[in-house]
Amino acid sequence: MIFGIFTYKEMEETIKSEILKKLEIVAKLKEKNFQDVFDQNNEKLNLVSSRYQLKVELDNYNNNYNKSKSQKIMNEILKAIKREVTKFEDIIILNLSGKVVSSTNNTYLGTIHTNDIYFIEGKKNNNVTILYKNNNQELKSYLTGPLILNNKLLGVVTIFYDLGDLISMFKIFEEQIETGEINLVKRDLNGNGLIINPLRFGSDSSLNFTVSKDQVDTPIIQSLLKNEKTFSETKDYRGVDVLAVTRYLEKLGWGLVVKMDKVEAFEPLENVKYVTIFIGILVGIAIIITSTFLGNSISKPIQKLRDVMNDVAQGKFDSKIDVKGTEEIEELAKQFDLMRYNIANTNIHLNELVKERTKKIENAISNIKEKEEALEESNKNLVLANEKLSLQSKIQRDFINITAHELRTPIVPIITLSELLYSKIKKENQIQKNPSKENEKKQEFLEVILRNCYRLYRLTEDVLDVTKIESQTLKMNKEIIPLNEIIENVVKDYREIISKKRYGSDQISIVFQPSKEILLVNADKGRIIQVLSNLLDNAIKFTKEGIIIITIKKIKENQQVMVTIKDSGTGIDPEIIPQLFKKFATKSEQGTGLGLFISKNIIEAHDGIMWGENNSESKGSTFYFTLPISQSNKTYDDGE
Amino acid sequence: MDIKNILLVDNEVDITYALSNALENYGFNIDSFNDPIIALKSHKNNYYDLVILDIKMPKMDGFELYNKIREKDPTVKICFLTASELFYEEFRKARFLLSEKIGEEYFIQKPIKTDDLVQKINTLMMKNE
Repeated sequence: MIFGIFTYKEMEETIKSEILKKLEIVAKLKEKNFQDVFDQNNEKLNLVSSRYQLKVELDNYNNNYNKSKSQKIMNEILKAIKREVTKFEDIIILNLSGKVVSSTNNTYLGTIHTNDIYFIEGKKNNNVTILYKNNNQELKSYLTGPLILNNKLLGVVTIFYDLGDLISMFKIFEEQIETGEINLVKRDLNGNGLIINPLRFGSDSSLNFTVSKDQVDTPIIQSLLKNEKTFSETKDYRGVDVLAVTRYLEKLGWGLVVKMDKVEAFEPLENVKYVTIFIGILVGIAIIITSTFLGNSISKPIQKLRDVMNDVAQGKFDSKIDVKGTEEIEELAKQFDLMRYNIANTNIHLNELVKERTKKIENAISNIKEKEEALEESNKNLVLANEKLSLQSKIQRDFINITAHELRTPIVPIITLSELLYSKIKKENQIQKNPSKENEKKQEFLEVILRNCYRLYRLTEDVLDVTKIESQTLKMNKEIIPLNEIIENVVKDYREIISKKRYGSDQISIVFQPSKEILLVNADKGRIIQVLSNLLDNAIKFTKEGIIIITIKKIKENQQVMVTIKDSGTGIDPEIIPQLFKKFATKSEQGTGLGLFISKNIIEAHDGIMWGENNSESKGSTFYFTLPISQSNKTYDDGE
Repeated sequence: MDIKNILLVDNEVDITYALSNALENYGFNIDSFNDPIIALKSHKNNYYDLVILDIKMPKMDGFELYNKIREKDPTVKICFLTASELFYEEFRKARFLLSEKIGEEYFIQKPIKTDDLVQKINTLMMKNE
């Protein structure tokens, strides 16, 4: 009998270790699943929260600058992100009072979530996953985190994502194994183990069933104690004997238990258990009989028989008995050989059963692996999308840079040589008291060429600027600058240009009324000069004769400065007013129609606003722009 | 007033041709090259009042040429005349390649009106460092 039990135990151990090994593989795969999805979602959240432009727009929105435009831009950025990434659930952006100010899904817009956990948690924690059940008792999850710009909290970004998908993948395992179950657990507020997914055994739905933290020996609590183990002797939450493997999902703080009932695991053994034990008993009896009845006079055949019996007892079933001796002994040997044959058969059958049992788990594993690959693929897609996004903006920048270089290069010799030729002919014509008609014509031709050269040059720069604005790659090179001084210099340049009659008129005077104190703004000097030049160009272009007045004053409790450029020209064509700041809105034949669009965007990139109107009490029009006054006296650092 | 000597390097033949003619019209003496390596070989120490370099050139870019000229001639004033975007990240990063830190005024964007270029050249030449 001892031999029989010994054989049985050995088989049990083999099955147990085989099954635990397989369960470990399942646990490992699931662990990777969850880590991957967590990483993926984190990446998605970062994709949103690292968008500089988005945060600038949110800041503008919060500060009531051009709210509807900011919201439009935010929505567009979110939608663009969602388009780039496969399987991206809806994203919402909440302002500090918990109101949805932007979303991929318009139905969320304007809804208030001040008391919702994802808003409360998102303000405090970076990228946290929050679980909840919706009204249909479906398990849903959020990933939420803060939106921060220059150390200032601007709001919260939340992604809705479906954990259900991931949990439904548990089914692949459970379908193959009749008693197989995967428990995903987290700690509830009291520290007890709360099962996240619905139980396989029992009617409890998700987030309903808890295991007391005092049941330290259960795999569920063990997993939450960060113990990654294999359990060959344990009971699950039902109190049933199981084989189990635990894992701890570090990043999520969740536990994972993969288990199978012992009954099922040892089912093949169970069937042969009694046979094995019975045979063991028989072998034992046979040995006792032979040694008792035949005493010490053990003949060769009996010795041989005993050797074989010993072999059989040790599980070696292939040594055939060929015994010759007395009739009784021959009979005994024959019977014994039959028994050996039976045992050998049972054993083969048993091995097949074990193989079959572990094969089911193996099937489950290979199915899981397949899904795993699909998941990895989508993860790869996400990483690619992310790379693509950053690559795209690099490509965009490179494209703009190369285009800029290539467009500007041919203009250089044209402008330079036209200017040279023009100055030579002009000089010649000045020296000769009566220049020939031919030479006068030449000078005129060159004037036309030059004028159009400058126009082409201006157009090139404008088109490049528009491309930068529209691809969101327009970079401001901000420094603290004195605004009065800058306007003064621009005005000086324009007075000179007017005196040279480049605009065909010297009937225009420009008056600048600077503010009494020094006004510092944090701005891109070149770009502010560009805006001033554009506004002055326009003012001069539409003012044949008259006065242009530039004023500068502090507004909004000294937080902002407002620059006003008032002309006495023809005014803005009423037809154009609605599209004044749109692209190609021009009635002038000289302009590109891009100037005001670019200027407005430059001012808005400085957190300022720009508008224009016709003068009510006199002819002409007035353009305004604001810039925030620099509060710091920090000097500009090259940023290098 | 003595004549100022300028070394001009740009791989575009039309640009060196146009600029040399225009600047000579303003009384400068211009040595121009389209090949940065030949330009480097022909550079005369303590001779030029200003060196004007293009940045994007095959064989050797403007930054590398700057460093090599600087090695030979520690005091000569060198500026860049470029059609590249001056305020682009990549460009600003590339400026790290220079052996010394130089101010924005040493970067001139082309195209530029000849009057304005001459004004910038004069300012740089008069600059005392």
